[in-house]
Amino acid sequence: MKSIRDAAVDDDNSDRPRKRPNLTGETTGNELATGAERRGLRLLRLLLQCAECVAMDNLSDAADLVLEASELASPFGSSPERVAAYFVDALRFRIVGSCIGIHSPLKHIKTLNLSQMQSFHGALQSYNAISPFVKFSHFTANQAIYEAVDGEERVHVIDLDIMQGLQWPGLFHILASRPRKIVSLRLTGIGSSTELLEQTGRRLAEFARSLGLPFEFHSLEGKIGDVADLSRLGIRPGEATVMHWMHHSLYDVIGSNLGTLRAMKSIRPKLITVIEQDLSKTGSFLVRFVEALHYYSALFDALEVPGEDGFVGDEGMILRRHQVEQRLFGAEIRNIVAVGGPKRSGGGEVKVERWGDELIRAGFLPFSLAGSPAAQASLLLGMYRSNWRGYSLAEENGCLKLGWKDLSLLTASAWQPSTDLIGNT
Amino acid sequence: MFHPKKPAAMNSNERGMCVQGDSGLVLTTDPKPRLRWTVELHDRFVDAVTQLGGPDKATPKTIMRVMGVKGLTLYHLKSHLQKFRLGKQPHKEFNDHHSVKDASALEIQRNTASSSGLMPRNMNDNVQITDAIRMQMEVQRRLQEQLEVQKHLQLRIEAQGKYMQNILEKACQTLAGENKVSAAIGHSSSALAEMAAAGTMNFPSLYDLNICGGGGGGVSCGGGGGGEGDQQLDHIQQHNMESFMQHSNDGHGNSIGSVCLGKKRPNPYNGNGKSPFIWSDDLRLQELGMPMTLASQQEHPFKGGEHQHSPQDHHHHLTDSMAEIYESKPIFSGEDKSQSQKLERPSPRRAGFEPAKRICLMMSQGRNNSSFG
Repeated sequence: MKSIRDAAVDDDNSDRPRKRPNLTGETTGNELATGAERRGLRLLRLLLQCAECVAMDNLSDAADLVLEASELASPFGSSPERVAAYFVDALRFRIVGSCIGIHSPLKHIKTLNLSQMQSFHGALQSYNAISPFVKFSHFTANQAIYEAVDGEERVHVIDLDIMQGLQWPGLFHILASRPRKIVSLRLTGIGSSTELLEQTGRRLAEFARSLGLPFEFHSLEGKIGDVADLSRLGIRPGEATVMHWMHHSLYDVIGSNLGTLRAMKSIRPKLITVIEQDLSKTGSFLVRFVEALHYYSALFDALEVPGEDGFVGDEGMILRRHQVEQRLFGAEIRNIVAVGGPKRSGGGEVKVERWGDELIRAGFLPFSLAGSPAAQASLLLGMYRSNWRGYSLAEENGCLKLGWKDLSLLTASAWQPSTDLIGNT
Repeated sequence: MFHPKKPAAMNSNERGMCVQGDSGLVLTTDPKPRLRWTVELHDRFVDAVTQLGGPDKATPKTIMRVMGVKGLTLYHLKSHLQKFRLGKQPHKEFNDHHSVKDASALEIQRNTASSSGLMPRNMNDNVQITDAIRMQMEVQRRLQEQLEVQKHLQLRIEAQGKYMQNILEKACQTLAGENKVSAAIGHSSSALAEMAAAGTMNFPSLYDLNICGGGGGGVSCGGGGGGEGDQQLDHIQQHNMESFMQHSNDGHGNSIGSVCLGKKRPNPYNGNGKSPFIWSDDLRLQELGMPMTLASQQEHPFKGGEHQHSPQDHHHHLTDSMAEIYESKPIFSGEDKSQSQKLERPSPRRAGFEPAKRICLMMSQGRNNSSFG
């Protein structure tokens, strides 16, 4: 098996007479299909070569390679061409940044403005419509929370990144239909914009009211790890506190890692639900690049499913998908590749590879999702079986994993405080 | 707030120009037959779309089928679906077919248009997110319902299984003891002896299947071999039921069977291999549960027979076991990995009723064929 570099060189030589290969530029009709494959392979090789050069600080070669790759990639082409387009974009940004000597995080990661957030929110709704990941995250967490607060009358949920609060009405409903009534349900939503938080709060209050739930919303602008005074979270005795954390790479959700763990230790919520991307945040640039490429290739493939009706559905679906890819995935890829992740270790903190390990160290134990949450997740996939055929669900050590084909993309886990600390449970 | 799934009752106090059709649709008397999308109709639409997997997966044809509203045409649904998909954005361009390449241009257009006028965008966003939230709630609600059904059935299976296991264990012990006692106490006693004789014929077959004593699984009735399993079990059931009926027929001719005939117990045994992973571990327990299914949760036969059944021990065993059942831990925790990994969508209700009927049928046959009476 030739090395990547050799293979790329061979390709270059064979294609030299035709500098810009187009669809009909391949020799015969038979080779059209394989032509597309070869293009895809060539793209892959170029990307990897470029990443190697970047990793070795060989920026001039990297620039040449990225230019070549950009000619083959397109955000409107086939799945490999689309995913490559966003990686090319990210690589370009990184090269330019390195050349000019900018190594600080992209400005808009630190200060997300209103329209940026709204852009994410809109794209998230589309994401929710065209793939099961959002529903899986929400419903699995809700079911775990429901089980954890069984028997409790007063519940306080802290959402570390509430956005538009799409998850919570589902929980409201299942809590409202409990035989033992909820006496008080409070939700503290953490986010970056007070205005958006208040909008979300009003909306959620309306839903809760319609269900007859005694509900209070509190907003907290900022990040959990940066909250110096934990009383701002309004923990009350006699309440079951639950924390929910949905990871993503769009922006930094929690701020300081240590601060977050400190908050969790101090609050000791009855349950912490965590949804993580199965993507490594530590390791060398090249390792992370390759992993991210695999991850997002699978994700783009998963969204490749065409609409059933060769009708308006296609156009709408393609638009939505484009929106998701450009606004969500593109942003994440840029953060991972160009900047090294949504969280820069600028604060001198060591990056956390596996939050599960950290939580165990902080005095938490896994709360198994293998029972009803697992059953629900498989019911969910079964409900949409005709549309979401290639998705796979697996349970491992009490965590649930949802993936595309054989690659796990999202992991849901839950944690409860261990009981052997100073008699507190 | 949730609109239950009943036919939309249209408000007949609409303006004069609107005609309320038989189907409950409100059509205007305009020259162009324009359908008014009332709140209820829109709710049914949203329900149907949710059921079909979201606005991108649903098509006008399938929505029409699911909604089942007379007078609703594809034309109506096409345009409403399009609007719904685009979140009721006011941009006209989206209503026309356009090439995908223009998508980015349009995005830019949309973004610039909206950032200049923040308010209109907020309103549209609000409607969109509210719709999304309602759809999400609906899906979660449905899942919860299915989950509850599944849980209840599992509990019942466990209870039956444990109960049956206890019965058999006690019965084995009892029979071992009573076989040595001379049959002098009376009619019922000889009946018991007969039953014991019959029992020894029956129990070995159960032993063959390694069920008695709750030993390790090896039941041949797995998911795939449903048909064979049925017959095997029917055979066993028939024997057991004969013996039990004989036993209970003694004093007062009141058989367990007659009390239970016609009572439909949702029997979880579905033996058709359709849902292999949820039920396969349970089959062993189910087979234990089956013969006693109809008798176990009935108070009457035991109470009625209490005075006259001489095998009081047997009765005590039964009641003891019942008490034990509801306190003991379930055998099947339902949490092992293999089950979770390849869960199929169960359809318990549908499969449940036929086997119960079959049992009742066999019981009547059993009575006819009884060789003891």
